[in-house]
Amino acid sequence: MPATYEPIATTTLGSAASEINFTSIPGTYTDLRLVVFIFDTSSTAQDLYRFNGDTANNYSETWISGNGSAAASSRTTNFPYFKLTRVSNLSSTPMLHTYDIFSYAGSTNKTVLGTSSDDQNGSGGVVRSVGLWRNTAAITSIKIYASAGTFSTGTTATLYGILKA
Amino acid sequence: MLQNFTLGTFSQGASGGGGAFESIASATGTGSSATITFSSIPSTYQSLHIRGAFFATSAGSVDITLNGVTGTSYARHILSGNGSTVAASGAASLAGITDLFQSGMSSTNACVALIDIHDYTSTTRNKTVRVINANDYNNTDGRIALLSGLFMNTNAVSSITFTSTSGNFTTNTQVALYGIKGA
Repeated sequence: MPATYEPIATTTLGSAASEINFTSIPGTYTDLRLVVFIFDTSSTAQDLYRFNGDTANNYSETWISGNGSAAASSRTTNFPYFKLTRVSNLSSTPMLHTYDIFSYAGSTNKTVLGTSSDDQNGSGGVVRSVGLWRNTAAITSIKIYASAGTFSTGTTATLYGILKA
Repeated sequence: MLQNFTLGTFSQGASGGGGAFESIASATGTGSSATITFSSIPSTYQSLHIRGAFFATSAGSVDITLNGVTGTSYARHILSGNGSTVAASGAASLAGITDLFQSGMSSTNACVALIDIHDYTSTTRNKTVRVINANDYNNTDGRIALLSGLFMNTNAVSSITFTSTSGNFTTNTQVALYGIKGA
């Protein structure tokens, strides 16, 4: 029997790569939690997330964010991916992303909660998001990639499974 | 009040791995009840954590009450974004930690929440509750909120009730209660 909260897989990049993939995700948990510690080579990169290789416009997301001086909220609809981006851009500083993916093996559309955290000693920001993937299939794979440049050495992604009683 | 929960056991073996984060119980909606209650919560943890995906038969919200207490024992503050504006609000002397989803419930897309209740076993202090609650329906609705709730009661928390303010929780609703151990 799986544990209540356990790692399914971890990828730590030993050299730059354009994407990280988790495949063959078992359907034995209740929720998934994805934790990504990211170094981008491009200061303008947005970090993008797709499920099951779905490239169609089935993703939407609503954000709330703060950059140290102002708060904002924005939204995408009918997008081909989820995205989390740093509030300010500095590729030498890591940022932390998380996605909680609820009922990922169920037969409803999939809702996720996302976070992005980066601080650069004078700039930076915090983002919280909610996203919807309009697809009722169980999630069996997750792709993480950058809109520009690559992920640098040391970028780490871990996928956890969370099981209910 | 209908208590449609599935109790796990509280031993390490129940979760298969034990550790600091253990599953206590979970519940699913029945389609015929507007409440889900976790009762007889053990006092053997440092904090409680709840993960919920809520679906309902009509567009209501979800209220949280602890130990069956209503009255005016709760307060909350909310910071939220709806895709275009950011808002902050507060309310006091409430009958529960109310209005998690601002009438955003749906039968097809989940309203989700992550909830933490710290120091829930204290018998001398009021209880603070942290909630992240949100929903996104593509181009029709979307909202994410960071909520701080207060339960002005010094009793240990032994039950938690989620109430749909309009319609019943559908069978896709899934709520799980976890205990987090201290060292």
